[in-house]
Amino acid sequence: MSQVSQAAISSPETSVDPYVIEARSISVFYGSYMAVKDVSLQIPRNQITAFIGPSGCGKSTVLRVFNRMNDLVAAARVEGEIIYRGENLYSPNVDPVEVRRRIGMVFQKPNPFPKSIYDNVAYGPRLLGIKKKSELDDIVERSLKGAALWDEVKNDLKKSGLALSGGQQQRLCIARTISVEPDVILMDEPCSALDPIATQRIEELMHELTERYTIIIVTHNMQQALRVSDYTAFFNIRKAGEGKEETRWGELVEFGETQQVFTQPTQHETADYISGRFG
Amino acid sequence: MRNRILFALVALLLLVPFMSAAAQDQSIVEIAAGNADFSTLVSLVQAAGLVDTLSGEGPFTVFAPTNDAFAAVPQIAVDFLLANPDVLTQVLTYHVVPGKVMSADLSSGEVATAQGQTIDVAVSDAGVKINNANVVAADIEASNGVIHVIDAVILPAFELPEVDPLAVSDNIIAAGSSTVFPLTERMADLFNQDGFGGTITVDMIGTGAGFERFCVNAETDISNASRPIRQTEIDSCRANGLEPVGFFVAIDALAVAVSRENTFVDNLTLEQVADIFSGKATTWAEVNPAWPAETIRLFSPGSDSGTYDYFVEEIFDRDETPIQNAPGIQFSEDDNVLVAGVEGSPYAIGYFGYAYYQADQERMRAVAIEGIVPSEETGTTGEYPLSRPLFIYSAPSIMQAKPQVAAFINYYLRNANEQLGSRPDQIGYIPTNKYVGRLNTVLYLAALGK
Amino acid sequence: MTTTSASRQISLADYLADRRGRVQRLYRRPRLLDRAVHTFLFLSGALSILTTIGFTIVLGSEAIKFFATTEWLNINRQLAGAVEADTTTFQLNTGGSAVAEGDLLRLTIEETGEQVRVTRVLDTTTIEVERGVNGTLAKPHPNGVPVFRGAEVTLREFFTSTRWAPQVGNFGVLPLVTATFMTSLIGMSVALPIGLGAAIYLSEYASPRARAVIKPIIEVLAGVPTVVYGYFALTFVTPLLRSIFGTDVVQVYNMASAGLVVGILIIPTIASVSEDALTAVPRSLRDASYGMGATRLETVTRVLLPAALSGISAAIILGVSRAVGETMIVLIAAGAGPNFSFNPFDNAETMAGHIARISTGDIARGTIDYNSVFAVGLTLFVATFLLNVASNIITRRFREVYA
Repeated sequence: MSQVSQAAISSPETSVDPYVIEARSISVFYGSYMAVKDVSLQIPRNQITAFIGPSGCGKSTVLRVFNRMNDLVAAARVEGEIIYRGENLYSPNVDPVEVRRRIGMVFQKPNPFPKSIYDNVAYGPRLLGIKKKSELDDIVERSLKGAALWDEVKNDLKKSGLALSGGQQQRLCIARTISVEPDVILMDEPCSALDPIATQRIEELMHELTERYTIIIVTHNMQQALRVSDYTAFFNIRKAGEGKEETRWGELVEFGETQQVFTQPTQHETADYISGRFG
Repeated sequence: MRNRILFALVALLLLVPFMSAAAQDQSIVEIAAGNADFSTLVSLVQAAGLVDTLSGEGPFTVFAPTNDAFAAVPQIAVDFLLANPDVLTQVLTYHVVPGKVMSADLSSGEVATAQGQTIDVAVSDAGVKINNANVVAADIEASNGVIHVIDAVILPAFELPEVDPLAVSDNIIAAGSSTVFPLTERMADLFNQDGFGGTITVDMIGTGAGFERFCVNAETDISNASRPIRQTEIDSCRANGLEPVGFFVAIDALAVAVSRENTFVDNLTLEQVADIFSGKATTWAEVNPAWPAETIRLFSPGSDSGTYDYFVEEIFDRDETPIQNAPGIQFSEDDNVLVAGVEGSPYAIGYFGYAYYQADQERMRAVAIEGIVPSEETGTTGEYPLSRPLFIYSAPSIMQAKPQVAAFINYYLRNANEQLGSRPDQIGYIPTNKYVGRLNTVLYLAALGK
Repeated sequence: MTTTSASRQISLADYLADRRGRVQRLYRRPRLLDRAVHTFLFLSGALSILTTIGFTIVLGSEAIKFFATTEWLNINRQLAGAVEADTTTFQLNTGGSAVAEGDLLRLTIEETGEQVRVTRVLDTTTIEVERGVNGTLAKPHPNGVPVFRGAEVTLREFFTSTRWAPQVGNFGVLPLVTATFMTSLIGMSVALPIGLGAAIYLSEYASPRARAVIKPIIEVLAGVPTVVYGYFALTFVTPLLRSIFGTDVVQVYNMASAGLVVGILIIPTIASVSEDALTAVPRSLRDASYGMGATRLETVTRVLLPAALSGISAAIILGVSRAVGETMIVLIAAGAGPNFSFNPFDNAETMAGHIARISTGDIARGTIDYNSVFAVGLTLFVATFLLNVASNIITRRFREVYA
């Protein structure tokens, strides 16, 4: 499949499969240390799935497994399978670069490139080999509109992305991510560095994005999970051993529709966590 | 050198008509006294009280040095002779051979003099040589003998006083020419080895700077020089109460050398050398149409070196403009840089002190100048146009105040020649001959006032 | 607030002061160590500034002497006929060097002798002159008085003439400047790609273990004495170049060999500083780029290099300054005489190399050679300074600032 044709796809595949991506028995190791153990879940298409859980439960680690960002950490090793479009993303013949072009990511801290707004958004399309000015102009406008930033910056496209406010920067990062029309957008606590108003705008935006994209969001904010997500996965920390022998790892405790997870959790742990948090 | 021969010829032409008019009834002294060109000789004869002797019956054969011959003797030596009549007598009687020997009777060999020692007579097609002097006019007959005019004062051998390196101490400081440096350093090492307890410092700073430190700053005891001291330097020495006295210790010849890969250049005239090193000829073909039309690569010792001074003096009549303006010429104070440069290209040419040339002769080839190849022999005779004397300078006041300096110079004069030559353990200069040694001895004695 | 003391509240500061037996007050206390350190740090800063200023003054004042110099050259000519104090037409003998209009001439060998300015050259032996110039007195001169030509150093000649031989009145610094330019250019064309490549490899590609081995090795290169590099150039690189291009093409001493080795010398500088600059680019920018599906190469070229540009330009400037000022290598391998040539295989001499060569001889203070060294030094100093300024401007214009 050529890169250009992939970028040109105007909407995600409308296949019968209601799940866009599936984790099968995923365990993540850093060296000999196991960070996450045996996670399996299926991510529904055009929905928002939230990963929640206490710090250190491995939710961000699992998120990064979906677009092989963990490959960039030298000692990281992943066991299990991520099935995407019928392919295991961790099979040896899969190129992580190609994976990331289809599964985009928005990070905790807004990280626009120290380039102009235009160049930030055009970065992805240019990687795909698009050089024509008119085509890039279209993509930039469409992406910025998609990220609800167009009206604010359309006259300042040459301005540095870093000159924007934090919330605008994060929306710019979202625009940058959707410029290549990925199937899935991974968001790693995208609002943790933002004020409430900026957070609200991002949350509204996420709803709009579900028309075309599948979103997985990691959040430490339960209300946010409740507000924005359709599905919720709760991760928790497991311990074994004592003192110096003690080891900790994360496990998936419960996964289901958000309403169900928050109101009728099937697991005590989930209930305890949620009530503690709201308590 | 050529000028001197020319002068001798002119002198000869001037003298001969006058002399042929001289009556045979005049004595040797009378003939000499009647000729302004022998005024120095006559005054010395008078000072030594030898007028009566030479006016006697004889017969004598007198080798009479001209005034110019005496002028070439350092003033300090002349003063010394005047102050020591017995030494003067020995020098003068050394010019006298008992009996009347006409030039036709002369043959090569040793001839005893009135002084007792022998003179070396060398007869050749070029003329007659007495020791280091040339006979410029012969067979001037007098009532009591015959006069042959010579162009240099000849000296008998005097004894250098014995010195014991163990008996002197304290330090000696020498500085100056980088060319003389290896020789002085060698002598210093040997002097120390033979028991001298003091420290001998030898600095390599160039002849000019050496004289500056010696004369102006009066910091050094011995100044190494690769040329005779200049009048300005003598003046600055005297201004400081120092009378410089130079000892001729070795002969250096400049070798104009090309790469061993160069197969076309055998001989250059001085004019061609000037054309090459001024950039007047930029390719070899411009020097000689038979040679390749390749750019000449020039290498020259740096302008602070005595070698450069000597070259500029000989080739460019002291005007350094041409050589400094030669396109692409490379100057270095480091001979190794030059050797590597010349060796590396068949179209390169450079000039060197003979010692450095000898040390690297597998890497370079010396070119004959005006048909004469540089060698020990052609250097000693002065035939080779690019040869020069090397000196160590000191001053009587220093040698008298510092016995260690006098002792070292004494040691130097006795032993330097053994260290010179082309053997690996030797320093590649040409040794001085015995006549130079005799003058050195006189100068040494004069400096010490004995 | 509750405290352990029933009668009064005390702070920890009061408590500690009491333990030392002193009553704690809110007055200023002399903090001697603080003040001493402050003073020391100030002095350190001031000293370096004063050194720079002093250095500039010395260099400048000595260089000014050079520009005020008139070097009297023996042109082997004499007056051919006596002149009166008011004669303005001179007859000179034939031979010697030619005299041109505008030349400054000095009569007699004395330094203070009368100076005249040539106003017209009628023929090779007849000139018209202005008498008693430069404050000298017009006097009668007898036949045969030697005539010297004064070579005056002018800024125009200094910067435009292509001949440098101060001893004989040629004051064009260009041959030294072009040689410096050539060796630096050759050096940078080696050092920039290799140094930057090494930096990128170390910061983006190398495993931590490889990095731990390679980085110290590269930095050791910087510690090798430059004289070693010089002989490396002369005894290895030059023969190599000569065997490739032919001994007729490549001279024994040449700019290419010296330039290449200067390049090797500054690789560590460029690599080390660039690597620091690349490493300093925040992780988040790499994540952003990789997250967009960029390859390593794309991330390096499109994100990291632009973001690290100011650090990399600093590395380049440091490298260029080092190349321009590098002395030992060019002294040994580039050649030992000024040569206005742009052929990299020709010998030539850089500014630094020239200063080193001239200064290692027994150079006498106050001579034209001595002063010229300072003029060349000042040129080198100004060139390096301008380079820094230029790089600052360029960097400010093009760099991408990451917050």
